[in-house]
This record gives sequence, structure tokens and C-alpha cells, in this order.
Amino acid sequence: MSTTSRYIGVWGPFNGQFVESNTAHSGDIPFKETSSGGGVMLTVDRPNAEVAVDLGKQIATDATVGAVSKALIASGASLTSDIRVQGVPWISVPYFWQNAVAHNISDMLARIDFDFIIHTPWYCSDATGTISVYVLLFLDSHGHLQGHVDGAWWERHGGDPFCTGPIDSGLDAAIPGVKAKVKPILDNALKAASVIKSKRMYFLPGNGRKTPGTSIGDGTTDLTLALIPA
Amino acid sequence: MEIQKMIDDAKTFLRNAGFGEITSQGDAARAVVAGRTSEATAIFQLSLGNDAKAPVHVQQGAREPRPADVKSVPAFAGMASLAADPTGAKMLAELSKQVAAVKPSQK
Repeated sequence: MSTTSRYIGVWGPFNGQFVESNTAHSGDIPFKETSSGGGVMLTVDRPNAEVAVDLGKQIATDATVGAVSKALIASGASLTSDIRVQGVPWISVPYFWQNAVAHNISDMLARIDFDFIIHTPWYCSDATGTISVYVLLFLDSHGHLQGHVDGAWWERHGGDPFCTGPIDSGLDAAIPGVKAKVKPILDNALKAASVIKSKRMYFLPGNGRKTPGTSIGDGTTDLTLALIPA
Repeated sequence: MEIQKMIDDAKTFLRNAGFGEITSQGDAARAVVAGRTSEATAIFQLSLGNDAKAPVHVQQGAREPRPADVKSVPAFAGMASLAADPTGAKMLAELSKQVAAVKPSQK
């Protein structure tokens, strides 16, 4: 079923809650994507052939949540959020300025992130924060979907006044392990779609539903990758 | 170009690209057009409305090189629409130029 999906979000459809409105078409329509209203509204014409992969659903599985929780507990921390997947323009990835020309300025990456808490001795405040892994999803020269772990970033609040050093060292030490764990999860999430030879790929905020009507979604927690087969 | 005009252009650029309104106003916008790296990063985060998530402390992990066999990457739709507009394309080209001019020591 070809569908026109319109997403409206105050901070842009990929950054917070958005209103989604889907209109079904009786015939097929070609792909078209337009942004208007200063980036507030995204309209996507989605052809019949579209193959949508709900990355949030595929990545934040019970198995992934369990593995992350277990790894955090082993490091003296606890998971305090769902695992979120969000579309992030390259220009707003935190390490953008370290090598700004690493990607095209219009490229969009996917961020997989989650919150944690580290309980500390009585003389320090507890530390909370977020670990984010940025992945580059792309079509290779043969038109097949590939996923690449591009980088990682963490943020910490609290842990003062005496515990910040060990906590930061622990987070630095944990990042390579987190990245290594994300790669097989990503490969598994993309496995079914990667066999399709595609001519185009694009992101949709939320779960990529096509059901006609209006609904509310959240672009900070879920992201859909859509492919048009060649 | 007068600094105020550069600030206005940067703010317009970010707004048109779908980054929302700049919340930290002039100082950060000035950093964007001047190519000052840490402040420029801050503005992009702030302009995305991430103020509530602004960290007390941030540190990054290592990043990997881009794979060689990349043919197509999803585009940020706001940026693509901006590029289709002549004024937007001019601003995008200017920003790309500034980005490309960032020296390794500034990265």
C-alpha cells in the first residue's frame, strides 16, 4: 500500500514527539521526501515497494536489554531507561568537529543510547548519564544495506566531589566493549533487509507505520529505516 | 560581512535546516560562523533543543573511519530541502567551506 506520511514535530520529527498523519493511495506513487516549515514538517511519499525496518524494535529487544543490563551490573552500574534509537544529522553528532569532513554534511546517522546510574559511597553523589553509540547505515556499491559502528559518546552528571575520576576512567574503559557488543546486535537487526538489493534508503521517525489516520510518535526513542528495492 | 549579519545567517541556516531556534543566542551563533570548535558544537546541541540533556561532563569514545564502500547514506531531509533552495544552497556551501577549513588542531 503506497502511503503519504506527514510528520510534524516542534523540534523536527526526529527530535522529540511528533504528530504523524498517514494517507493511503489506491495506486502506486514514486518516492518523494520534502521538509517544510523550517524543518518542523517532513512529508514522505512511500511507494508500494518500500521495505521498512523498525530499528527500535529490532535493536531494543529483550535480549539486548538483558545483555546491556548484565554488562552494566558487572561494571557497578544499572540501566535506568529503555534502549532508544534516534536519527541524528551528522552535523549534530557530538564528535562532529573532531573530523567534520568524515561524512557528508547532509548525512544522517542513527544513535543507539541508554541511561545509567552508578551508586557511589556516601561521600559522593550518585552519578547518572547516557552512553550513545552512533552507527552509519548505508547502501554499498552493490545496493546492499550495511551497518557500521561510527563512534561512541558518554555523558555523566554527578559523582562529585571525589568519585568522578574513577567513574570517568571506568566509562572510558567500557566504551570499546560497548561498541563491540553493538556491532553483532546491529548486524542481526539488519540481517533480513541486507539481502535486498536496494536503490534508495531513507529514515522515517518512529516505527514506520502506514496505518491511515493520525497518531503520536517519539523521534527520540524509535527510528525506521526504509529501503526501495532495485 | 558584518558580524551581526553572520549571526543572523547562521541562525537562519540552523532554523531552516530544521535544528529549531537557537536558544543560546548570539555568542554561540558567533562561534558557528567563526568556526570556533567547542562553542560551535555546543550550539548545535543547544539548537537541537537538548538543553535539558546538556551534560555536566562529557567525554567521547574513539570514533572509527568511514567504510570505503559507501554508495548511499540516508540524508537529513531538512538539509536536502535547504540545498534545493538557492539561498539555502549558498549558506550550505558556505558552511561546508567552513567545515572543510577546520584544521586538525581545531578538531
